[in-house]
Amino acid sequence: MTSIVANRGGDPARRRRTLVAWSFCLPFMVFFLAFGLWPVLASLLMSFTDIRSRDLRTPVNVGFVGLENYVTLFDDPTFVRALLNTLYFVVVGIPVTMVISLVIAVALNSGIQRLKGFFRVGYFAPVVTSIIAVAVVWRYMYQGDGLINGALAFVGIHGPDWLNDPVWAMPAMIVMAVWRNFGIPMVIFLAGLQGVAPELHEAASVDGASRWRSFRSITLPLLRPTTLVVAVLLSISYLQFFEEPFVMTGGGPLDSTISIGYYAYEQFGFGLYGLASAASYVLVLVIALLSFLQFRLFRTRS
Amino acid sequence: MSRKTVLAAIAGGVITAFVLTGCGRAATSGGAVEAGAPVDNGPATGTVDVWAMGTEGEKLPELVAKFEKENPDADVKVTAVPWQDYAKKIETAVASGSTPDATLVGSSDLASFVAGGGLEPVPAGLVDVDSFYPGARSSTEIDGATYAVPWYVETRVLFYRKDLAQAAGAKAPTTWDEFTPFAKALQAQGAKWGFSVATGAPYTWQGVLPYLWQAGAELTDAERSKFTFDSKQGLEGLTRYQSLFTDGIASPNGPVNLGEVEPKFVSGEVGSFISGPWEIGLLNQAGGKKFLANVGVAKIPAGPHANTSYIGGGHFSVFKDAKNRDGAWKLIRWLSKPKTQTDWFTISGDLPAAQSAWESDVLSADPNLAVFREQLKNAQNAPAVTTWTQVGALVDSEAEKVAKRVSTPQEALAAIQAGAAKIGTGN
Amino acid sequence: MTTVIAPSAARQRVALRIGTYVLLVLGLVVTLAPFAWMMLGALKPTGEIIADPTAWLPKSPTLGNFADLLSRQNFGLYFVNSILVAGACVVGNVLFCSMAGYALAKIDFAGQRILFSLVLVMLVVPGIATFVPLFVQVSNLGLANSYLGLIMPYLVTPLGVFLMRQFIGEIPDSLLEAARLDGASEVRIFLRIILPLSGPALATLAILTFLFQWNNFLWPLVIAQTDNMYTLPVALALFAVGANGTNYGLLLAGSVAVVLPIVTVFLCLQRYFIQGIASTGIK
Repeated sequence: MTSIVANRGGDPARRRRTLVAWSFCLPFMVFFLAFGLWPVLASLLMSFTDIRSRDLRTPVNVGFVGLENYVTLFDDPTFVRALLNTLYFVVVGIPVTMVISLVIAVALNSGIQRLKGFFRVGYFAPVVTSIIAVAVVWRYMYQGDGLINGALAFVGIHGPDWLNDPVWAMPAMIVMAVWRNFGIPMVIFLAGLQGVAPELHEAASVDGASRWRSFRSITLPLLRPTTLVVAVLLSISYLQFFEEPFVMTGGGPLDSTISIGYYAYEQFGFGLYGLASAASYVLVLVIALLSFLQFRLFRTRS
Repeated sequence: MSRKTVLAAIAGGVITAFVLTGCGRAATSGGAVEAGAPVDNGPATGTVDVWAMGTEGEKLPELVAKFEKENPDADVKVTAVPWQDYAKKIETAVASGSTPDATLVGSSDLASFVAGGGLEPVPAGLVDVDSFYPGARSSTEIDGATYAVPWYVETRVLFYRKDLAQAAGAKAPTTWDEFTPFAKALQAQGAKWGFSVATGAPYTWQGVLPYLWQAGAELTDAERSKFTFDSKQGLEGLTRYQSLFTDGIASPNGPVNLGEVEPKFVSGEVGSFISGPWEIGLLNQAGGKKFLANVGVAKIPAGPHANTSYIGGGHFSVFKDAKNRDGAWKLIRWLSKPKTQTDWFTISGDLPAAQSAWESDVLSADPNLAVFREQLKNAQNAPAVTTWTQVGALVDSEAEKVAKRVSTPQEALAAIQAGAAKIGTGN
Repeated sequence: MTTVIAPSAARQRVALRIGTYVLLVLGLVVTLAPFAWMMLGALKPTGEIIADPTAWLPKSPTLGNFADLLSRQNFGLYFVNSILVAGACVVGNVLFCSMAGYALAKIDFAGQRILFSLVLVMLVVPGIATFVPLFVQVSNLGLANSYLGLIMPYLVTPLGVFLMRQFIGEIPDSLLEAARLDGASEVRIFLRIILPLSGPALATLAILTFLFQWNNFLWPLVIAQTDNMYTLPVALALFAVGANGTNYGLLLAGSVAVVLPIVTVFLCLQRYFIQGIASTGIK
């Protein structure tokens, strides 16, 4: 930092500007430091200690245990399960959400005029709902004799007892998450599609290319930056997977829907703050890693 | 600014923080805990802030109105907290120093709150501890000190469809061996499941551990310094639990929520289940007064050792951070009186922890209550160890594996023992 | 579309358009069905929901569930709490984030880049990663189980600063330079030029903040201890998994109470919602 100040520090106008700018940032900085940056750091520090609920009022008066909390985590089959479940949720949930939202965005962008705004609002509506309320409602719809199995029976499928079945509980939650979230990538894709000049498609159709081919070779590559944004946004939101198991399954049946977030909350409830911090830091690492991978995936090929 | 500078700044911050704070745990001093300072006999004064959970929280104001009449200078403020998640709420309140004066505490959770360090020991001579049921009293004593005063007790008994049993010519079972054919007889009369029991939901252990006790298992050593789940008796108990599912008596997807089994019991889908004294009220709600004639109540069927049931209940504790400590203890002293407890029974249906309160007319006349009273003589609480919340959750999740036949009882018991040993008893 | 189209291609185009509409309508029906079922279910007595969970129309519609919600369950108070917390966060974000956003976008100062990188990094850190130390800290400030404790951690958000910086960055510099030449102070420029021009961005930020806070769950769950501090989602969640887990009518009514207000706001201001979400994704 010193180098930059040394470079330009001699300029009194800049020094004054810096002072003014930081005064503008001051209220934000106070809260951002205290409730944003510091907890991120503190979480890391706490994950190396044996802090428990009883130490709350003396948070520095705790034992340093190195990586012990992390060892405990990866020794605990429940945590490993939580990690795998969270990845399952993300790895299956995100592509499905993206494909559905892209299909609808393309349909909305296909030149239809009538009711376009109406459709957009309707498809977006689930995004504004509280996950808690949604989970409460879907919990009933997923009952063995509930609405969803009723609808499936209508087309001749005998549905499972979704939330009581260790195999189907997670897909049930993914379907619900897709329903609630696809509106977000839909509007982002829609904005991206509107940026694709129609002349490109016209040129392609003159060349005799099929719609599918022109979509694949023109639209998709142009949407790559949009796709990256969507993927990062969705993975941050899907990795926080917590409310759904809290309301719908309590992490069961047989730990099949327990997530890292839920696990961390449980440890917090037991008063094991150090372990809870370590679990949530694993989540931070996963987010960092996944964002990095997505940048690689969508950047290098363009 | 390069990324490296940012990283270096963060790393620097971490190290500085460690150095500056001088991270390290000061030695905690052991030693005996002394009883709290005595409380005088004068009337209570000032505001007493009390937390109470669930229905108790809704109905407590009606009871304490009488206390306020007797103590005109006192004002009792009751705050309702849902039972669900209440343990986390108390723990966080203690940890963050935002406690009320007193709180209702579930008997099996008391030890973990004591470990949190927020509760004051009961003042010497406040109440006569021998007046309470021994099962209730023993769960208030932790590490040689008393941290709560028993208020109400609950124990679990067998509820069954009397009409179905009569139609099948079966009478209430008294042993494990009698129970299985009994449940099958109910199924023969149309019940889909002869019995219903929790399979992994929170507090499943309350339904599972009695089987271990009935087989004669002791879950800790005498000093409560280590867990002893993995005994021959423990295995016998857990095997018995699994047989409920392998015999096809009970659904491996047991109830998750309170209030879930009642409609099924009323409709005849479920033939019997084990529950506490609040059940009569719930069944009255679900099926109406007329339906109650079809409800049979019996003591828990005995295993090879005994017919031990679970005893739970509510105690009252005072927080170290209480602003009106004397007022709170005076309120609790009043709440533990047999007369108050009888009044509370008429308001809430909660069973008195004070044994002499059972002699009153309202309690002694009811034949269903007689069953509970008998059962209370043989009922046990969770081991009073400070880590029980965690161990209980472990038992819940292993029990689910047993019920769904993913684990054998041997495997599950070994996993419980290993996990519990790692968690420790906190002693 | 002035190009000449062969009749077969025209027919194909019409078929495609019809197909698109069919797809969109079907999709919409599936998307809105849970809302409809929730609303209709909230009007049924619990017994009716248990008797036939697949039924749509209430046989004997009643507002009893909503009356219960208000009289027995304190939902009026939770509603007020939710509004208070979300409202305070909106004010904080609009005020403080626009100030910081202005400095980041339009003033060249030492530390600017490191501050902005920190904001960017914090954009991706989820709340679940920091709730433990946050809880420790807020408790030690003596703010557990209080409105301040509920509000303070979300009074400013990195997203707010990010959005405002991006938007203010698009205001032409020439406007500011002219004012600076006239000797206007930065405060005056902010109040007289930036704020009036940022109306749509401020509206977007206000709405997104309100939406996020209205639905926020983990933090209020952790920091609110007693009933009187619950927000709507916390109350609903604890109610749903506790003793009333099978009180279907009441729970559906509770869900309506959480969802309906925000959906109404959304329908009135949908342009800002959708633009707001879209702009988080566009550089």
